[in-house]
Amino acid sequence: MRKPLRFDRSLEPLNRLIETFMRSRDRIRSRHSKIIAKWRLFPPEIIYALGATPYDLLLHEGLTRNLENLRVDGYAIEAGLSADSCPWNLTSTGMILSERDSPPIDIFLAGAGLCDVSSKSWQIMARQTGKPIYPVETPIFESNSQKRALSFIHEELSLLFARLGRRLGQQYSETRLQEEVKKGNKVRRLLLDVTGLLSQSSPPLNALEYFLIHATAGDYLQDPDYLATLISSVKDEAERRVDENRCPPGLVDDPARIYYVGMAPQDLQFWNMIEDSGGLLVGCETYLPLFYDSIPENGPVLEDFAKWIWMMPHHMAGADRAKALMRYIKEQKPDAIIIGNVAGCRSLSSSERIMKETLKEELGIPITSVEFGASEDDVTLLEPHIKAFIEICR
Amino acid sequence: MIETLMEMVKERPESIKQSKRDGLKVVGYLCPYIPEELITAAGMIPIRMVSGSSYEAMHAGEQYVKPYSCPYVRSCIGNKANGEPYYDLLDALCVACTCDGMKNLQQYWRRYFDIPVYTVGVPQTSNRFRTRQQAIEYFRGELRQLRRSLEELNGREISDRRLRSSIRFHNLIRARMRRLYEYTTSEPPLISWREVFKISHAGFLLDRVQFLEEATRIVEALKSSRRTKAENGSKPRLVIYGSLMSFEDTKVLDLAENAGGKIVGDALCTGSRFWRKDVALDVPSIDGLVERYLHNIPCAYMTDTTMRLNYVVARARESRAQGLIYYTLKSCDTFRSEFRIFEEALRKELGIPALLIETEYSPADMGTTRTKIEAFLEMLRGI
Repeated sequence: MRKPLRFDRSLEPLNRLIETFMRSRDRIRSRHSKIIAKWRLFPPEIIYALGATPYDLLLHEGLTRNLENLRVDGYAIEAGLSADSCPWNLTSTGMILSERDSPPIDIFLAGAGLCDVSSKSWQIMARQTGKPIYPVETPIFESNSQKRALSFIHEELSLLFARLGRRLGQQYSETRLQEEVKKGNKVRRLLLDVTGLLSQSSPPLNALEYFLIHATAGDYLQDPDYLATLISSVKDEAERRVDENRCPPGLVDDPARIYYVGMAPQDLQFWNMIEDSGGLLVGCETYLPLFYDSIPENGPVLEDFAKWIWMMPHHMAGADRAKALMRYIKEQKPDAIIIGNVAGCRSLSSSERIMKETLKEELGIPITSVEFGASEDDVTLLEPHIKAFIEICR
Repeated sequence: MIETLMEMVKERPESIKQSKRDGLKVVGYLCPYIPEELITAAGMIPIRMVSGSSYEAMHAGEQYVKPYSCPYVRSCIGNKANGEPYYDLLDALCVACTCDGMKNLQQYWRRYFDIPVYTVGVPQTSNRFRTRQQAIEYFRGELRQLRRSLEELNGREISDRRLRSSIRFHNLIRARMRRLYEYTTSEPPLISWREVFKISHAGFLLDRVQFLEEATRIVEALKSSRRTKAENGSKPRLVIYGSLMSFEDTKVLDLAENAGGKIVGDALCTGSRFWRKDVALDVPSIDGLVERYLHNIPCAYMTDTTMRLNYVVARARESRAQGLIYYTLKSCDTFRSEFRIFEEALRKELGIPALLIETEYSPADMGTTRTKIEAFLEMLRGI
């Protein structure tokens, strides 16, 4: 029996933000601009700069399927995806192909070179729906390839602006991109500020709320200005909580401070489980690559953008990624780390052993890894593991 | 006809050990995006890691990567961990960072095994018809970097003259292999596809000079051989395409043959696809390598499907196949996701069906795979 999700309803701006998040699917139906389904960690500024609306397909469709308990994976499998591949991709592809309340996607923007299942599922969706697809490729992170890789990404972005701009009837303008980068940076800084509040001895937000807030980096909920206002209000309220030494509901005394690394489960129940098990989330890496740093605002914008994309921790191999994340993890002062894997993920989850060892060597704190499958039962089955781990850490 | 070659393959680990005692270095590679020409020109022994796919190796690899990652990747890691000869004799490994599996493999080899690992980034979005200049520039840079790494490893410069001569030599090997493939399509065939596929694998493992001599000897012998009487056409003719099929991974081939089918052609990267397209000699050598390796028939990792689709249809047509076995390793998302496109195209273009076989190096799925293949063959026979 699934437990109902427990939200922290005591902060009004938080309620508004969560509601805005949960209504993303409905909102894009009323947009007049073209809707571009983007790969989860592709920076949304590029889409805004061309006057279109980005939609983080994996995130929103993945969560919708789970919240509404829809069975759509079969459509993706029938179209070609393997039944044992990443459930986030199976779901989003299934949602699009099922044509049951599918989001009105006009264009698919694929991140090539980062995740095979994503690349291929994007291709399948575009082919089956007859919608255009634009791939943007990021080469493998390798320090001795940096110069040519940056030039490659720069050219990919230029080409994307030219091709996508033609289709959308929009001319690429450096000034427009700079404006969008500024808006995006505002959201990034706020997300880093909110994350910083979790490093306090009594953090003001629960795991589920923080996960949803940090995941807004995926598409800025279709309006970066409005999102910045929302996060700013949440931040103010959260700061007040810190000042007044108030905790969010559901926390036990002296909880274990948990940092989460890796792919998130589709079942949001997991985040409640952290507090239910005596823990407290102090940071989450899932969407951190989109706000790990601000994009320089006053230099040559495409060059800077290319460099920023190249340095996203997500692109790095296990050991490099662990080293890149170290600073962010240390700042949150965790007692322990949970590494999340999604069964069927051949990219991030397959480098788990290296991640775990590198983090352990550097931080010397307890680390456990969990694996989520496609079924909601998986999260429930993980409860004894999470409880035991957190108990030991406390 | 191929017994001598197979004997040489058996003895190969010992002969590599001898070469190493003589001071030669051995460089392994996995995907066909690494130009062997560079390894040969550096005066080292190239070995493509196509041997050692076994349940034991795959299982050993699961101590490192997840059980839901590619069985080939798992076995390549497991073979090194288990100290299998071909893997233990390597002085360096070149990894073309194509699919997620290859990217994972290079991380684990780097961290846990004590030999240099040279990575080569391969742009995914380029193809011969819609070339992205940045892809060419990037790949050229990657090959130049590999050249420098190999020079450092062996302490010997790869001169342009030496590289050109290596290209010429490898073009010759490719030409011999293409000739052998041609002989499989004559009616009746002068040599079976299965034998040529074994020769193809031998070509990844043996000393390349010896291999060329042997391949030439076989070609000469076939030229002067008499055609045997054509077999009656009762056996359904099959062509095979899909993920990397390694030397010992004969499960699907054996099952298809035992069930009364006859494999007459392939479009595999350990088969015909590897040997097509020469490196041009009328351009600077690195440019020739870039053109050949980036624009050969692409792996399913590459975004564009048109070239490989056309190639598979052409192979099926040329070998007068009545059906296609679409072979994918479990967790090989790149190939698996394209099955429907190929199935549809073959039905439309040639009116032939395709069978998807998803498998790994384990006897566990022997029964289900046999049933699938038998049912497919029965359908082809019209039973």
